[in-house]
Amino acid sequence: MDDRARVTVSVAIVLVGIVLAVAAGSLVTEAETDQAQGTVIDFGDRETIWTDAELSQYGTELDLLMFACDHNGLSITIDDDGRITEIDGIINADGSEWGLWVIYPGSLEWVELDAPYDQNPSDFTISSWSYVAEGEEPTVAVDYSGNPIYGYQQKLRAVSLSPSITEILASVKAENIIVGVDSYSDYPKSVAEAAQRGDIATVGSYSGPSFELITGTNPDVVFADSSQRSHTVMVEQLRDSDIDAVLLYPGEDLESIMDNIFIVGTVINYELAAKEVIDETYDVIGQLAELSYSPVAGPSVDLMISLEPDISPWVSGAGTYLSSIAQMLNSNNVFSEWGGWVHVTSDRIPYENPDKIIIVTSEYSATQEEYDYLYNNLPAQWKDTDAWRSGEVYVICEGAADMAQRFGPRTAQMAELVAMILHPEVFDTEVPKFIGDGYEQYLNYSSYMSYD
Amino acid sequence: MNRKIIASMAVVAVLLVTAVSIPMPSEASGGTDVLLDWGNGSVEWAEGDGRTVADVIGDALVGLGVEFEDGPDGITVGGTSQVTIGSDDTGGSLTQSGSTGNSVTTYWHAYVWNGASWTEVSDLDASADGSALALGFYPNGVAPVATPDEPYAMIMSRGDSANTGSSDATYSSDKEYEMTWSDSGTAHATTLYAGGYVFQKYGIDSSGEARLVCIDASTGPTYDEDGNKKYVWEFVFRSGANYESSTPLIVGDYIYVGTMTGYLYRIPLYEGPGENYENVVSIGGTGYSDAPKVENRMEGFEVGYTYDSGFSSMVYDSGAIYVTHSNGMVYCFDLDLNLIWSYELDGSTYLVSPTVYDGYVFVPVLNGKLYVLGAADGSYLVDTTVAQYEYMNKKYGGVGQVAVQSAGEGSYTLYFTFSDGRGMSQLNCGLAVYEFSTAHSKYELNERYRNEDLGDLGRYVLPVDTPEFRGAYLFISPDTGTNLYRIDASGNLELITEGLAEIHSPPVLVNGQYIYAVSYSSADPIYQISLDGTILGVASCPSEVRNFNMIPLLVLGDTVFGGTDSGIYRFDGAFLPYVETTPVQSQPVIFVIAEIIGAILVALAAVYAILRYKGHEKPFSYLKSSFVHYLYGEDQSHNTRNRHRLKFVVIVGAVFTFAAFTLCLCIGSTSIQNPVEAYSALFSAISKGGVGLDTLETTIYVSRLPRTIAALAVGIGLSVAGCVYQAIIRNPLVDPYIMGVSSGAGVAAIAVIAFDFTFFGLFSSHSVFLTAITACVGGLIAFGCTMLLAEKAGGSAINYVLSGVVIGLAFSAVQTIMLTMAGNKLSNALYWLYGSFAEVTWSQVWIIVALSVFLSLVPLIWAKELNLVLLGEDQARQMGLNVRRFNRWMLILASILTSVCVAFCGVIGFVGLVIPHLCRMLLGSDHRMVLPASICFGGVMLMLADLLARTGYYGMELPVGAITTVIGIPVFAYLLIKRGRMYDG
Repeated sequence: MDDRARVTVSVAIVLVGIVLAVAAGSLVTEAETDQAQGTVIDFGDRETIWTDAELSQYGTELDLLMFACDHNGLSITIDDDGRITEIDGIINADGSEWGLWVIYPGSLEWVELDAPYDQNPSDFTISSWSYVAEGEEPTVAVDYSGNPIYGYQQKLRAVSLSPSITEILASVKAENIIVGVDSYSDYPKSVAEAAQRGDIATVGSYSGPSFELITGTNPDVVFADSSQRSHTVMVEQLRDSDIDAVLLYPGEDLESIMDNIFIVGTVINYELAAKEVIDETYDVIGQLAELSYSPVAGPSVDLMISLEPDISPWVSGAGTYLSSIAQMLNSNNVFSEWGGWVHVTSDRIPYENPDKIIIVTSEYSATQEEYDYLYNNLPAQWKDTDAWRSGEVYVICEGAADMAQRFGPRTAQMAELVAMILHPEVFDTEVPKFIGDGYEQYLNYSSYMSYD
Repeated sequence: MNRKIIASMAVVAVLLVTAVSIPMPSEASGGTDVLLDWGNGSVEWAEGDGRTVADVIGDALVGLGVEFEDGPDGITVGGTSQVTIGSDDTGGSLTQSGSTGNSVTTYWHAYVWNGASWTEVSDLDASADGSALALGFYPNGVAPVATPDEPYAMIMSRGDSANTGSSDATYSSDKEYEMTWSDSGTAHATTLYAGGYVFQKYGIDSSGEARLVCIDASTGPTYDEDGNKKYVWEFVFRSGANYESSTPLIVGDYIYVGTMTGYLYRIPLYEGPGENYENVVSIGGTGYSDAPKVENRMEGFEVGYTYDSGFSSMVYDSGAIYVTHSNGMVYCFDLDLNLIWSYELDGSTYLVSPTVYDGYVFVPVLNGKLYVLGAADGSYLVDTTVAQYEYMNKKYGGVGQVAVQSAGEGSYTLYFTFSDGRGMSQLNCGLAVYEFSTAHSKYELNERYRNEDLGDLGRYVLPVDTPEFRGAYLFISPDTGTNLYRIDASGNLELITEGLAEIHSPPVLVNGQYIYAVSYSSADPIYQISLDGTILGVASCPSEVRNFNMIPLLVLGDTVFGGTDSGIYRFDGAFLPYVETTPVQSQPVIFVIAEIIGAILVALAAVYAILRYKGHEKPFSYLKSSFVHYLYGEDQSHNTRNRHRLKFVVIVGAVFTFAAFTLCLCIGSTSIQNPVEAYSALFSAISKGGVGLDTLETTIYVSRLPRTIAALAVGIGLSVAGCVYQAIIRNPLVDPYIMGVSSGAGVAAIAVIAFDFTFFGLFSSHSVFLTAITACVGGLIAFGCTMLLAEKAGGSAINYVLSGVVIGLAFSAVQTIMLTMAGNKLSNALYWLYGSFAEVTWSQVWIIVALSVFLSLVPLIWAKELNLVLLGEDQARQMGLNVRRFNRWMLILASILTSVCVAFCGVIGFVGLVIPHLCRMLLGSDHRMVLPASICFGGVMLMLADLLARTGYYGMELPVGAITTVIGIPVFAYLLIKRGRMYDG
């Protein structure tokens, strides 16, 4: 073969490779979002009624709604313009109105559609008839991958890929359906023990779950955490194998944590228990917020939340779970100009001069000696703050540190600890400077919200 | 194990049953068979002798211990001669409590078997001719369902109106059970049986239609030539519900079916609904098309969570049908579906049939109350609140089906479970024993026992009345496992057996001896348990109809019918003896290895024997010397030797590749299969097109195969790229990432992973290809920069190295900064950078394979030129090669190859560096051999590395790049020591 021929052959081989790859790529259909067959009637505050219905039988959204109301025995009133004015006795009032909200395939965003409601229900991922106040949105109805959370059959074998999800399952009284957990799930203890014994399978680490171990548990549903990329990918893989998988929202604030609890409860049909946890959480945090803003509590506290007592530490900016909780309790995160966890330069600490410092650490344990050592050996920059000078440096460690880093049903307990740190004046019990495994003994308002 | 769950079975299941089956009349003793049908589902067979019909029946009933009298006013059995249901019209309707004025009177009738049907005998003094006789408590014109030919029947959800769930059967077979037939459908209603036919109500299919089907019990459904399924008859109806979980009812020649949409129909039992459903009758005698719908308006009372709505399962007692509805009404109909009376409760009822016993109707209500009504006229007798729980200012409660035992003197013991009635969401469960006393027409319900700390409880308890024990059996799931308990009237709770699998189906009692229960998961056993708690036998749900099992078994002696969410099935034969379950043993690795070693030893022995036979004194030395000669023989030409070596390399490489590939399929973190199992699972998965796989097939086809193929392809790609780079740049330290490709790809990938870069909106953020394509482009951009810089600098090999290093460092720096800012997405980004095949799916595999394998083939064509380049640029130029141009194109090719590999799997080091060196040390520097060898061994190495990565540390994915290094170093070190002196890269 001469050179020319060889060049031709080489180019041909390369081209064939590329053509085959493109062909293989174009054959891949992106996992289609399952369309739930039915519709949601949403009374607000996560009070929803899901109605199963074969969508192809209903030409318009209005037909579907009429069926849903009839099926559930709900009254409905429609005015001359075709707008809904009342469902089940809930009448449009100032600011809050019934409307049709939908999510289009491939999106997570709610879109409100207008009367007449002649849209085809099959065009949307999900449609929700929602009683919504001005500027607000309906109750969450799709998971973080855009899949509807309704219409699942009962789930009796669940796998949790994160410690937070394991806690959520336990909190909605569904601990008994857990058949697999990640290796970091250590709360409730009974789950950790069952995993140790082998009654519950360990399906890999939090950051690296194993497909084979998950499918080995023969699950009905797998709950994954969208803040882990490996989970996002795993959800796709599982759905490709016809296993229901639900991707929860990154739990960065209270609302999204509560949404996650609601989603878990809805998917496995334990929505009442989920609602109970959510209502209790709001109830406790509401009480804590009221206390924190009472005159006795004093002005807003400048707060710094840090991971480990390093010279230049990682601190919580805005948009972390801890920061958003603290924000609701009459405090001001001194690093809120950043988002997420940030590695700050040491001289920012005296510059921001926090009133109180919370250190979340897994390096220390909750003893006076360790606390004294930590306190006395803090870097000079830390010592040049009002917090250090007034002894307002708190260490959250051991089990309490786990709780601080998990978006789960113990949010209210975490909030109470933070509130006690921020505003000790309004609480009867005093919280010590170091909080570890025994954190529950300091709780008063949320003590009943343990799921261990 | 599961509190909510067992309780939830109630939600879904409802129903159920038992086989009222009867011992087959014995052939031997010569007496006449007599059937005593109590007219409530409960029947007994006995034998009698005598001249007249009355004598024979009287004799038989003496045997049963039942009083019998044939007086002038008719027959009296057990003190009862007739019962009238119904009273004067008080305005009762489908929506209003009261009587309608309709009534039905039931008498004892004697029947004689004429060979095909029961014929009523009017004169009991007629002489008995040996034909079977029957005594049945029915309205005029109705005959028993059980016959001498088919002595077994199962006519209502728990066998009889008292919901005992018990039955009799004969066991004669020692043969191990086998499945006789199965049928697909959603079975949430109890399977009924009469006259050799099975009647099953199936829930909705994909078209929203539910159906009641009649199946020939011996053959199952049949199929016509086109493969269409044929039932004896089927009655199709629309249902809007999730489930059709209430059970129909068989009385006389009719089957009655209530729907979850609020309709009630009567259909001729064997004839079926007829064309256009002309034989179907509905409430008030209306036809199918005019059937009234009983609406599910749940107004005025607080209801718990009803998973379903519509009519409950029905019971028949003394001429009347009793049924409740989720609208909170209790109805009593006659056999023509005329309403006799109705009663409005103050709460919804929930699909379980009421219990009718001794003229009392016990109705559990979904507001936590228990009602007792008079069966004859629907009069209210007494009610009590068993369980109410407050939630969000509403009261909830739920009471399970009531089991009744007479305690004498007009008092009764009631056993039942209760819950907060919130269906799947329920939080509280308990067990209660009540006493119902009727002394002096004063009706009272008193609690005798209550326990809310037991764990999850089912909705059904099983009353047991034997000489040894009187009380009820039930399954309870505390925190772990499911246990069988029993409780007596005094509230003594006793643990009978523990550690069962999760059970949702109501238990049934056969012959007063055996409890049958079906595990919820099809993977767990079907149990046959004695009353002392010994597990006598187990069976497995057939693979045709798997998951989930919520309806009870129908036990007709050695014939057993079961049902699941996906269908019903028939077993014939005896259950297997129970053996304490041990986890399924997969084949230990040691066996796999031993098998392989054994095979090799056998092969060696065979070769030895053959060579000895051919006359070689020392067969192995002979083999060795001829092998060495084949590869290195000085008397052969250089080309011949090379050809021989190439053949050797390719054969060994192929064998190794196949072996590594097989190993990767066989071994995983959950189980180890032997190669035969693995390949048969693989081929069966392929033949199914990857759809509807079982667990092993999923494991091999979905979990192991794609990443193994990807590892093979990437291993080939990286090794070839490394080989090419090393040749062109003539530097032994060069690896595929020398051109900065990995750093560029890393920057791009981190941009996607940590900063939601979507390629300027080209891709949706969930696209499976987003990271891969972005990383590939990033790698190519970095290479472009390197090339630009190198070409500006003169384009020599050393220019390329230096530019590559610098550009790589620049991108690495950007990468580091991005990682610092990645916050909580840091671990995600690092995970990608470490390299892994964990995320490879079938959607990417063929892209990787096509690109990396084809691009890897090209350098083979140019192996000779690569040899020239290795001699140095000047020399190569002298040989007529345009070195610059050749180098440029080869570098582009190798860089694309590297980018593709990196794109899907992240940065995997070492393979591209070491495999070419290994091959050169073994085979010399001729690229005509080094390239094919790299292709073979690169793939092998990466497959093995991936195997270790996914199995090395239990269940955790380890970074494959680290593994390649760990396993590669010792091999490399060994070769370096052995060959390093004469090797100069």
